[in-house]
Amino acid sequence: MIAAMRPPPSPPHPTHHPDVDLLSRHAAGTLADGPALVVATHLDFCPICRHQMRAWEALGGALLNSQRPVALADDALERTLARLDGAQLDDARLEGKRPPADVPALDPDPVLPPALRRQRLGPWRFVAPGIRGRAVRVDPTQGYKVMLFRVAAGMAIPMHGHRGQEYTCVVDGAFSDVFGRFGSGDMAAVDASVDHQPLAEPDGDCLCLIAVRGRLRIHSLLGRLVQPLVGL
Amino acid sequence: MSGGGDGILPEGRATAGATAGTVVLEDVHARHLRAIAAQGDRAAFSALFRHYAPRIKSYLLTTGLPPMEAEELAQEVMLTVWRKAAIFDPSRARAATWIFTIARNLRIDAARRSRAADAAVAQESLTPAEPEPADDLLFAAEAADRLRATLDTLPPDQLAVVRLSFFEDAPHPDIARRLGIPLGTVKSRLRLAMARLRGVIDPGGAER
Repeated sequence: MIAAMRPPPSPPHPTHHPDVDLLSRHAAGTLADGPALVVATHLDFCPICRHQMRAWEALGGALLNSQRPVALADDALERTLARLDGAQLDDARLEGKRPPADVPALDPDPVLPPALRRQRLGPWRFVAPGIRGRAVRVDPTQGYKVMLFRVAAGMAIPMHGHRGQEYTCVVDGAFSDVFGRFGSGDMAAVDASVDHQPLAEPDGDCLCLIAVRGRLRIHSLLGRLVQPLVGL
Repeated sequence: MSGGGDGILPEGRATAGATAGTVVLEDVHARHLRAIAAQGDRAAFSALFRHYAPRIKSYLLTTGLPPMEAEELAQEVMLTVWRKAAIFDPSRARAATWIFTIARNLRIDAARRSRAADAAVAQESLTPAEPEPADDLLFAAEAADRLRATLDTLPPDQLAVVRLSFFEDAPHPDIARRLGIPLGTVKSRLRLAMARLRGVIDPGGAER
């Protein structure tokens, strides 16, 4: 069996990945918050891309090492040493378990991957029949809107006719469009020229994270009417 | 490449002098981090500071930070290195990589804070240093060594383009203007360099 040669099959790995450009920019820390959150969500599902990500970070480390040094102030080391006394040494056993200060408590929804549970999520709101949405708060000055949509089985997902780049990651369930089937962790990045019509699969709700630049344009009359309500 | 134990240069690594040198340096840095974690070793911290702080400041300047902020944030990064030294795991990432991710995350947080004085917008960095499943570990550390070796062999003009492109995400015309070279040259240098780096990062993954 060919499948026997692959890494352990469960849980199923995503099959639609961010391209090399998105991943390297995520590792470099140069993506805007919206796309970065969509990529981070995909990474929670995808060991293959986590590999790639670590390798791009290694490029960052190698570039840092070969960076031309720029002298700090004469007393910089002295001042930093003086601050060490007040700095608590982190305990390795606690790291990762303790939520950092000034970060909201984790969202309790167990279906959300860690990248999303750490975010500030608005309440579920009605968007259109069969569609509800939660705003994900990101820095608005970067021009991205980020929404978590729950789309009822068989419904069209209101994510087409947009302007600018659009980034999507399926969190739960699946949808299909002309590019194929997108299940948990699958990610898509499309630009405005693509007018696709994603449909949630018939056997269950589809939960997906969408980041769009500018306004998200919903293609139904009702959708247009409710846009002001959901703050899109 | 998998034989890199504690401080021993694997066979065949010594072909490029610069590479062997940085590998030794890397082991020294990892030892410093362990010394900080184990006994709060200030001499080890000072040594790391002298090597990394000027490079971190340089990196932050490259990303467009003003000199005063780059100075302050570089110190902040080193303070975080001190605090988090216990979670550094040399089997997971090289010291330089680990320190780069700290600098990157603090830079993202600082940029976010300065964009939005509104505290409601402040969030944790989107690129967290989470404990990872074992599947990620060895690969990244080995890739780091291969990448460093590859960087050592890149012509300086290609390296300059890679640096601006990766650290700053600078548009190609900007890179051309700043390096004083034609746009076509930027693209061809970047293509050549990235083809080699991708071959290291993602062998056999060219179709992605």
